[in-house]
Amino acid sequence: MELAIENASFTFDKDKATLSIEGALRLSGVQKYKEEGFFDFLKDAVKNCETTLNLDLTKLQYLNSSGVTAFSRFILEIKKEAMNPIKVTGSSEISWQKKTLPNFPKLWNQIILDFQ
Amino acid sequence: MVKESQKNKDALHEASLILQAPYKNTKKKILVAVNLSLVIITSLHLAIQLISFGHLPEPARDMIMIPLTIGIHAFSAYHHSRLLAGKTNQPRWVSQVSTWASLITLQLFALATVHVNINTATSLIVDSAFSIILVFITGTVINRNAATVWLVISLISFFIAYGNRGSSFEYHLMTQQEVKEYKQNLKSPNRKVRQAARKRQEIVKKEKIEPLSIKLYLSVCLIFLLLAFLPTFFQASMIGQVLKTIPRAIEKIELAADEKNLLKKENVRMSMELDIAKHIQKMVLPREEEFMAFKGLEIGARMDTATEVGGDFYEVLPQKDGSIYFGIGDVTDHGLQSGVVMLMTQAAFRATLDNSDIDITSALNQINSILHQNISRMKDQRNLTLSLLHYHNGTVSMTGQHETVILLRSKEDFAEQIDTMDLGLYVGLIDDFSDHVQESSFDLETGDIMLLYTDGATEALNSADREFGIQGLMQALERHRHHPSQQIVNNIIDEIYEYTGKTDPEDDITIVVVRRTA
Repeated sequence: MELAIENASFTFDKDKATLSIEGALRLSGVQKYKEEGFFDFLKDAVKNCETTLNLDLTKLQYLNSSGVTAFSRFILEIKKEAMNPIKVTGSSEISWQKKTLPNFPKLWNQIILDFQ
Repeated sequence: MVKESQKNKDALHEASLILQAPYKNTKKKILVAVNLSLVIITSLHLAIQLISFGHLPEPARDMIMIPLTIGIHAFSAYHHSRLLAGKTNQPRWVSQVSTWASLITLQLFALATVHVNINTATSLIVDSAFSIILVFITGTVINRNAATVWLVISLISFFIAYGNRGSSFEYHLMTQQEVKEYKQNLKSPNRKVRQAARKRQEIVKKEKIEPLSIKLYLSVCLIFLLLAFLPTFFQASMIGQVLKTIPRAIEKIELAADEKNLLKKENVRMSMELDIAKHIQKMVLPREEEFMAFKGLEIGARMDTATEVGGDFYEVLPQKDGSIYFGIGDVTDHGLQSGVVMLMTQAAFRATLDNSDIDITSALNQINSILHQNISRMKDQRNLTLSLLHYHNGTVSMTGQHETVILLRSKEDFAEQIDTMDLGLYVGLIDDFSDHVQESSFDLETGDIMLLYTDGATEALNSADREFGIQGLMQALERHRHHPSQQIVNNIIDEIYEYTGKTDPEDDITIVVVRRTA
């Protein structure tokens, strides 16, 4: 399954239980992310995985503040809906990831964070 | 706004009148020219007849039809000239009737030329030429349908004329009787007669005036007629079509102008909203003169808002006990709502901290709770990064997650960063984040400089899409450390603009510089 939002491509590989996002996301407002199918795509990926989904962000070069909120809301929603927790893989070389990803386990302590 | 659109409308109306003038006038000018030509030609005809014969040879034509024609055309010319000059208010039908009457008399002339004129040769020539002229005039002055009808009538007339003359008619430059005798003479048993006829035949051949079959003559005329008709038809209709499209084009221009006005209104509304947002965001910022009153600290601060405000926040709040609260934050997203969230943050910040003995972590928890409830009520998803700092007797305690705090010790050459990642979480996102809020502290010695900033400063991009960066910011601080705090802030922001090559920020830029002086 694939999804393209703005300058980013979302690829879900069910066999590897990996959803990787590449590129840059700068949509204005969380509502825009919702309209582009961001939440549906991510939640469907979690539902379709028998094991823990690996959200691979190592190639997501830029994410704006609305995008950070969108990811945060996604984590809060899967927590609320008692879905499988996910693993987030990030890159310590990308500045927004260092500033942002450590917050995800604070939103739900079941989230596993892995920096490469 | 209303006045301007009225002015636009008047100007457009005037423009439409100017553009429509040639459309309305061209038809009239063509008609007047035709009318006057016919009046002159028919008058000359009568005069020549009178001079040549001393009387009018064909009473039906010369005493009824021609005077009637002169009358109709003279009136039409007069009426349309006055219309062109704008000197008459007579009803439209007068113009229509005189137009149709003018053309119908012309068409009757063309028909009469074929069917009444005794000279077959001239009648054919005149008819084919006249028909073409009339197709053009009819098409231009009335419309292409009228031109088509006239083409059909003149074709029928052509064939009737042909039928009347009979297919055996030949076009000679002599009477048919002469032709007949001449042909008999060619076969005459009388040798003398036959020789005379043959001699004539040789002369005819020599002078290239051989008899022409009427069928061939008609065919040629017909081809010419059709060839001439097609361009004339399309030319006439083209003029008509072009003229007709002008009012439609004007309609479109008016529509475009209306749309432009709407767009202008929308732009005015949008820029008003942006102005309001900017105003909201800047109206509650601490004033420069407030900084002067602080003992022991020299403070400089500046916020440059982007065209679409980015929701930056900073606060400097002195307390009765001589301590000072600082706040720095950045609301997610842009626009009016971000400005409103910033305003609420300022209110919650002051309400919670000002002259109360609350500790900063509890204060941050309260601010989070207040903002979460209000933002939920706004049905908005915005939240913010926010750090609270409390300076008291040379120690800064801080809580809340925002950008790093930059510290330039007076004894050091290079600035250092103090991380805030572990001190909190996004404010307003969840109702209770107290589990993730922590406090840390550092000493601020005399001469030390503390710099607070938002990401608008570090993420400012140059033309090669490279960020000014945290290193850029730290180095700028090191370069300007010997200036007063406010000068440091201004110099750093100037450097950022020099780096981006722009005079306005893409995102809000906030920098607060605090130096301990005593």
